[in-house]
Amino acid sequence: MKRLLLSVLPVTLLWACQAGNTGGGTNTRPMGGGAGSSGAGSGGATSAPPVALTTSCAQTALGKPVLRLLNRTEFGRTITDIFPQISGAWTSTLPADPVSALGFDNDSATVVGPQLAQALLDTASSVGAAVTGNAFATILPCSASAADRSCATQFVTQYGRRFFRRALTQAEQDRYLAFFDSALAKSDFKTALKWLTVGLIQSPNSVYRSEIGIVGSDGSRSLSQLEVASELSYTYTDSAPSDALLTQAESGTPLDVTAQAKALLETDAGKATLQHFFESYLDYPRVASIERAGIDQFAAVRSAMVEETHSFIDQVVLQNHGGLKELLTASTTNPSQALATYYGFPAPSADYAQVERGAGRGLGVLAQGSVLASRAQPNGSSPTQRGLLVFSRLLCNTKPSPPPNVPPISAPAPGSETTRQRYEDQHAKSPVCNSCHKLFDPIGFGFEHFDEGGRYRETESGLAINTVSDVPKADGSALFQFSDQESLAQGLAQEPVVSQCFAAYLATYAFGTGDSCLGATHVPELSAGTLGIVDYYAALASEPHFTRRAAQ
Amino acid sequence: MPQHVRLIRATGRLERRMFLKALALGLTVPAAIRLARTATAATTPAPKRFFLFYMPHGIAPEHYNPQVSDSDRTSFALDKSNVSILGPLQKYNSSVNVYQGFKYPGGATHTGIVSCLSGLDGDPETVRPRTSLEHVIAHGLGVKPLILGACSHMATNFDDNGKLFWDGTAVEPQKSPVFAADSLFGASPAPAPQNNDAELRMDLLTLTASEIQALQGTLGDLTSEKTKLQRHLEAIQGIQSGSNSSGQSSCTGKPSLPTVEKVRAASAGQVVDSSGGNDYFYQEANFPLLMQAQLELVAQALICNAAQVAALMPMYATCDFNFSFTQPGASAPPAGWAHHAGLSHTQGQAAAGAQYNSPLSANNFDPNTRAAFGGAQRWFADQLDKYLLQVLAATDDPSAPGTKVLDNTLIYWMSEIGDGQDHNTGSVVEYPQVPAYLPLVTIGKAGGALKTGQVVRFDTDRPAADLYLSLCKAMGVGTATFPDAVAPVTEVLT
Repeated sequence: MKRLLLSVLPVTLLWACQAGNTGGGTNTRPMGGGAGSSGAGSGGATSAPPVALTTSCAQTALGKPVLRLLNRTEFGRTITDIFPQISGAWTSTLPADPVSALGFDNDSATVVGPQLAQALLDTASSVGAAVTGNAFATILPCSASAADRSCATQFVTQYGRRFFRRALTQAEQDRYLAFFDSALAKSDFKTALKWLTVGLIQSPNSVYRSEIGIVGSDGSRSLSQLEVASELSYTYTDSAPSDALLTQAESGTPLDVTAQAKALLETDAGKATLQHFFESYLDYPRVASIERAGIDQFAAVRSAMVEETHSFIDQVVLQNHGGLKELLTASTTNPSQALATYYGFPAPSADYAQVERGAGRGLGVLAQGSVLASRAQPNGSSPTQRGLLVFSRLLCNTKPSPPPNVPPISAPAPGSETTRQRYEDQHAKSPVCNSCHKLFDPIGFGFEHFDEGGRYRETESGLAINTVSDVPKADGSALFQFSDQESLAQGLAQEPVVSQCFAAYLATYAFGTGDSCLGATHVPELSAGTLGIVDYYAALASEPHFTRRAAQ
Repeated sequence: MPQHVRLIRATGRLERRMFLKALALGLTVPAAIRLARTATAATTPAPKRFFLFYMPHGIAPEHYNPQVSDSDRTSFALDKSNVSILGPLQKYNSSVNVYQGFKYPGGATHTGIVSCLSGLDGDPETVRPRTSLEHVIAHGLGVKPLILGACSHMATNFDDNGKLFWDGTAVEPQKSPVFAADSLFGASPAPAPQNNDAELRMDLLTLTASEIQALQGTLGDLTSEKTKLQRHLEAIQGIQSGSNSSGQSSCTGKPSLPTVEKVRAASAGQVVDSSGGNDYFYQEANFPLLMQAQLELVAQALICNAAQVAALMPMYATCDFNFSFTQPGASAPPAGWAHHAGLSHTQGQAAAGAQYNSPLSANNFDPNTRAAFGGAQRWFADQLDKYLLQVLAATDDPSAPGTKVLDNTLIYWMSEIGDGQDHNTGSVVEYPQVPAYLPLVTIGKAGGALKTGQVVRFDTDRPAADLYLSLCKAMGVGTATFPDAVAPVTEVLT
């Protein structure tokens, strides 16, 4: 292709196609940052920068001490749990959380910038007004009988402990009461209490979870029992520790963190926390906002696909305590009745009840309509996008950043050429394209019995579909071969690297960082199938990193 | 400390002193704020306004490039190329500049969205400070920018596809024009001022700042966490200094905002839900009305000086809203009307050997899709014209008698990439008759500071940040800096 570049483009095709090691191992962040899509020519809907997680861990590790900023969900649930009396009476103006390079919205590196600082103040002001509104006497009974400094002291002591997740120090107590005195001199009791509430809510001691600890004789840091109580509560329910958990932590008795974690995961909040992991990990909810020009029914069922996957995970992972094998190879799904008709599945007894998919109609979460449809072109499937999902999220390889000026993939030619033939013609026959696409397109061929709307198809416009392929390794050999989506899913479920990779993503979500090997201890049990996903997630509380940190 | 930051802080201190003095005289808080602002504005000329308008997913050059002769680049036509994306701007030719021969940093696909306006290369999550053009200008002028967005990030999250605006951290645009309008011009009826709330709020910020400093003091040698708190502290200090406060409307009463009111009625009190997509402000069907309302609001905010600097991000990069509404009755392109995957990403021809390498459709792209994409992008120009440019051009500037608001305004229209299919972040000439440049356009003279009515072209790409330096200078922010800027584009400055 002849192109006269007016400027020298700093990225070459070959540089851009240098991918990580297929098949696992320790991958490193490639040169340069930047968001990558699955390629201009092959379409691309996501833009996660090329970052990979470590999968091969000799032993578990300690991460850094951090102040973790509450994200929007955590902030909202904290307010609701501490002040249930004002539910619906306050407004959050917090912006959406930034999503990390690995796809999660609880990155421990997040900072408070100008916009968030203003939004915290505005939201806290709304809460403060609600607290001192109609529910004031319920929240602070003494305000109705003896609205004085003693009553304000009671408020600071009681609610300060909940927001700070520890008792206030004397100096902090004095600082807040001095503010109260000053505010009372300029206004009235209610107004002073309102701003006192705002102060507690936007305090750095409230908006950051401390995971700093104290340096011990071995040079590592031990988190206090109160820090661990906060970590437990936010990791497993996205909210502040209950009064009872705080009391237990204050008593000095060591917390049984794994038992606590398991108990928290049984709650509705705990289940929602784990569901949010899957939403971020697979990014499946975005199916609700995509178009499929050639499928008339798609717009009517796309939102139900999100609920279907949510119900599938609820059943397989949360209710049945399934492991990675069950997640990847379950023969069931949970469609609405309309979706079942759309897919051609048996009708469920009620919307989102479990049904068998049927032999040859796909297995596990990778056969979910939301996953398949959200990784496709508007008018055809996409072996590239589907292959990249497995390549990056199940094998933990570095997704290469596509170069600029990628030539377009040719348009579908129904009845004369299959999608696989089209991709092989354009990608496999071009050395430049193939240097990257050879790593993931072959995986994507395994999904070719599913169209761009996530439906099974026996043929592609009358042409036979070939799904025989392999999972390539960087050296050109095959990690394993497969014949279709089902044998691909079964093969992946047996690969240790998939368990290691999945565990690394779970640990990243739990700890808010992609630092290496923080959750390595129980990976062998996850890999062997003796530990389900929920139980592995709970077992992260027993990792050394949960209660200790490196010096810095 | 950069000079412009010192200037802002000095201005902030001056305003704060005046504000406190006014309070001491017994003035109400709003009156005190106005007096404080007047104190710093009294010696300056009539305010210039700046508006940044983002158009997602680039252009099809064959439907965008102005007709211009190399011998006289002040003689050009915007409404002569195929679909003519820039056609609606033809009537403003004497106030328009089209810029060619610029590049964004990085060069990699999709980095444009996070770096194109800040001129900063590197990982946006770790490199700081990342401050985009509109915030640099706002900081320089000591005002809070109005940052709006119609569906400007995915309903499910705020990822890199929505991170266009930066103020040290990524800034999420306000998606509700109703909320923004009420914030700027007051809800109806205006709430009664609460007793001493403004003063107590300032006292509380001092308390919070002291808590942050106290916490910093406990962290020993944990540098990264101390730095995290330092940025939090600076954000609190920004609120204290007033740099985050909105401007006061110079208009009498609330301006007429019929499109915003339509949104108010249609959204029926819904608020933006950042954690999910189940509200009015994310729904595809509402997008055209939302963007029109945002533009209408920006126009009135600029006229009334309620916002001196504004920016609008309609859609996030990779947003796939169906754009068939822009060309009713037209046949659907092969990949449908989805703006990103269907239109901007133009698939090649299916037929073997099909060639369309001509001024009508370069690089064997499907000409029908390219025309449909051009039509979609022209729709943005139409809306900009109808809801903003026509209004500014017809309105006498209340701050500068004898001029129109458009005369004293600088509108910068841009996209994150050049050719939508190619994702080029610089200039590419494959076919001389259809060169592909980044779509960068200004409308307005910035009070006479900008030489307009020309196609500005450089044969070797310059950093877009050079252009940003020039726009900052035109806006009176001469001390602005951008990491990869070399020198301002003097050809456009008077």
